[in-house]
Amino acid sequence: MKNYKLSVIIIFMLTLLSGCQGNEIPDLIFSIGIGVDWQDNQIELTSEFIKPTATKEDSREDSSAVILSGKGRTLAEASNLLSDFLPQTPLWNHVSIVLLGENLCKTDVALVSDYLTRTTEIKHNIPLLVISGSNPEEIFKTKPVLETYLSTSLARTLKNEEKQLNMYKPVLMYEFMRKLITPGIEPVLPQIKKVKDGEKYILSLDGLAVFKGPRMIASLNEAESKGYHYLTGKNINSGLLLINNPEDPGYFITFELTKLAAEIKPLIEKENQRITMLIQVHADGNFYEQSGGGDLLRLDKYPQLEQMAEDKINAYISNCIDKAQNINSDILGWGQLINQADTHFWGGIAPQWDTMFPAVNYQLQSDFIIRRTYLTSKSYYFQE
Amino acid sequence: MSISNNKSSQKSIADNNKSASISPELNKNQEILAQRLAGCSDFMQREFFFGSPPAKALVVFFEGLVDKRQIENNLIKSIFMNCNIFSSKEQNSETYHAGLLNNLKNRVLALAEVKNIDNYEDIIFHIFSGDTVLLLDKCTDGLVIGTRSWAARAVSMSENETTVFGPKESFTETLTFNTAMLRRRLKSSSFKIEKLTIGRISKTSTCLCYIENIAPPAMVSDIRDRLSQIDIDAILDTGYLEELITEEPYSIFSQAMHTERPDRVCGNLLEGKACIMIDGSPMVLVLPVTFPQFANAPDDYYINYIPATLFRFLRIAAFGASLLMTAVFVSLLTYHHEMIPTPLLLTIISARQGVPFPAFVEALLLEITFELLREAGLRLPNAIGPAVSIVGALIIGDAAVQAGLVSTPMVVVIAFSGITSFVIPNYNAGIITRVMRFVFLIAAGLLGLLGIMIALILLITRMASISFFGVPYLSPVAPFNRQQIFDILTRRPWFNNTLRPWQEGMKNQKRYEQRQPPSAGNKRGTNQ
Repeated sequence: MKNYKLSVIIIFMLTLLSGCQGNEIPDLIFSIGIGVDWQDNQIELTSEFIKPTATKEDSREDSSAVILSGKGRTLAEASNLLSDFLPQTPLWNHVSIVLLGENLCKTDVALVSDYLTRTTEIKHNIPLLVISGSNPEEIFKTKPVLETYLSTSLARTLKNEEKQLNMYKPVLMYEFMRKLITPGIEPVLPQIKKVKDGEKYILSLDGLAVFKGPRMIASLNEAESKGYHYLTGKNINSGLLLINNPEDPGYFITFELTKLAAEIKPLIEKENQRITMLIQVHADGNFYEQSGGGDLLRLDKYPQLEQMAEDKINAYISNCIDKAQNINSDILGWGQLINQADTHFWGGIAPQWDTMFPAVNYQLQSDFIIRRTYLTSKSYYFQE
Repeated sequence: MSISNNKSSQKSIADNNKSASISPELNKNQEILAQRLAGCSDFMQREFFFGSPPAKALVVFFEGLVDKRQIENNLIKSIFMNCNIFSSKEQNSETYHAGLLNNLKNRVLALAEVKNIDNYEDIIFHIFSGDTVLLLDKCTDGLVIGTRSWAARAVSMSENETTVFGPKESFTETLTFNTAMLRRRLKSSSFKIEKLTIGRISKTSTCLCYIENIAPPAMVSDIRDRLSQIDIDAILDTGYLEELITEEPYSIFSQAMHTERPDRVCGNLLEGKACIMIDGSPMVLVLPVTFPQFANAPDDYYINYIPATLFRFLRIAAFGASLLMTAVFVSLLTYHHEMIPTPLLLTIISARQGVPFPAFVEALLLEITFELLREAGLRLPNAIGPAVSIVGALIIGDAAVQAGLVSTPMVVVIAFSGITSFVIPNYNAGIITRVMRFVFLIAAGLLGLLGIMIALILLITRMASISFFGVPYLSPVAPFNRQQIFDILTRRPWFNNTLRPWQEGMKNQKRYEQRQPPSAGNKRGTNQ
């Protein structure tokens, strides 16, 4: 009986604990995306909030999001000041994307990286984007296409992008932060920019921002981004590859990639400290479209088509490598590959990797196979 | 103090009367009976004379409990028709009258149940039970004649435990019908029906049934002892007995299954359980039962074992949803917003705007409303029943949402968890679930998921700590038994169900010797 009494007392005492603090949903305002920038030596935090709408009908109108900004010396202060004059408590659990201003990236990511990863409210598996030629507030004020909220629209677009175009891959916050602090690999982030389309502005992805240390130093264009994706992507099983039509100049042949895997191995010659990266690309694709004429779908033409596709892949990849070596940022993670192959050797060269990376040689070999041609097994022969 | 005095004095009177044997003078007997049954207007007596020299006889019975035609045709008429047997020249009255009774019993009465009695207590007990008693002048014995027949409900379809497949009949209020229903299914001498009488006033016939070489003897004798120790004025339903013989008086958990299906009772008897039936109630107690067993429906054993197993999974999931769904939803809305997927959150935000109550209060109000509707539907006469559901559906489902008093997602959650509680095949377990749901809801409102976990731990610890008649309440989950957990989670096919669920002290665990797969040789075509 004594135990019963004790347990009843304990249960009632538990209810007085202040462990969890309950918050009713109407008392909260949910942020679904944030943007951070560095302006006038202050951190500016912009956030897209879900507008608590009175009825469902309102949520379909364009004013369903609220964009608010706060400024402070640190990100924490900015976030605090942002919520200062709000009647509701902001909640950051549902942030689905983080936009980093170009200015901030070029100054120092370390201004915000600590708070972003330390706070308990922001998830670590959300994608990061760099804004090029604009600021977060302008981006958030752009009307999203087909969706209600810009942030969710961006996060979903990024996911889709990887499947469709095979150029950009969402870079999640924890991946970015890990690359930021790991020697022998540098991070990249997809860039977003505002494009004028007739009367209104739309957003589009535009290359990759390349970091060196905590600063952004350059960006890759689309072709280089594609090369970067081919080299570093895992399980690539979609995307298009265009080559010129060999029979009909000015027209194209489109291949649909069904598999692409790049195998990179460092070849280390210890005595003279020479490193050669051996890159072997295995790709499969389907014959997707032929514009223009020419009887291409013949067995004797296949080697030629495959050779052209291989050359194209090689061109993308070597473009990317050349650019990376040019700006001297090891975004391909070659330093890490050397570390994996020979830790001892890497230990010796790590301090001067910065100077060695631009001079690293590479051998590139691609291998492309055409698998299917879909419904027509012949090319059009136009009567003239 | 006065009560206890009364009790003891009652007992002493009863003891005195028990010893009082029938007087040889019929008039005196008549007087005593009339005195003891004064005020019982349904008490009937019929006096007549027969034979030569004429012997005075008295027939006593209670109106409505007996079949009067049997008394007229097979008792009084056969005595009058066979008067010639009783003409005797001997005038030695003592031997004549003693022989008269035996003659009547052996040669005249065309009735199946006839036996001698010799005291008033038995006379009164038997006439209360619907038997007729025949008393003769100058005899110290009487005859009890089985003429029980009263207006009884016929065997009908089970109303509360309906199934699509399987037997449809259910128990009735008449004990003999019920024992017959079991006996018809278990034609074995090892199926025992022990009879005892419980209740000072009601003197209810109670049967303890079990299969002798399957049910653990220790358990049976334990139940028998507990039953025989009951001292109560009346037993009106088997529910009384459950509380009177329980080992855990302060517990919400039911140790017995109440069922009205004979097939369900037989199935449980074959698994080594015992059952208790009483006269006057169609509900039969099966005990001891375990909690995981409540997921079994009688249907399971009549349909193909693969869908039966899937349905069982569904029921277990429904049980979990019924217990936890509202609580989890409330704790997500109040404490753990980060665990709601963003698209769902968008829906919830727009639905909850303008709702005046916190999520916990809203859920509690809706749950109480649901219980009210359920209770009202149960109590209302059939003619008004549908009206309640219409009002419930309109007010709860539509008007309250339109008025902005409650949010639609909450209504959906409450309705869903309400439906799932009715999926549990045992009504009693359904009640437990609905009560516990409120406990979980309060825990969730106070401490969120942490509270739910605390409540869950307390609940499981409590359930694991009790056992009824040597069977742990959570077995075979705890203590864990790998072989039998399959019996709970899945429905084994009959050709591979060789073992009965194990119980402490069970002697005969095998249903049959070995697995008997349907053999290929019996297939059509292979024999030719």
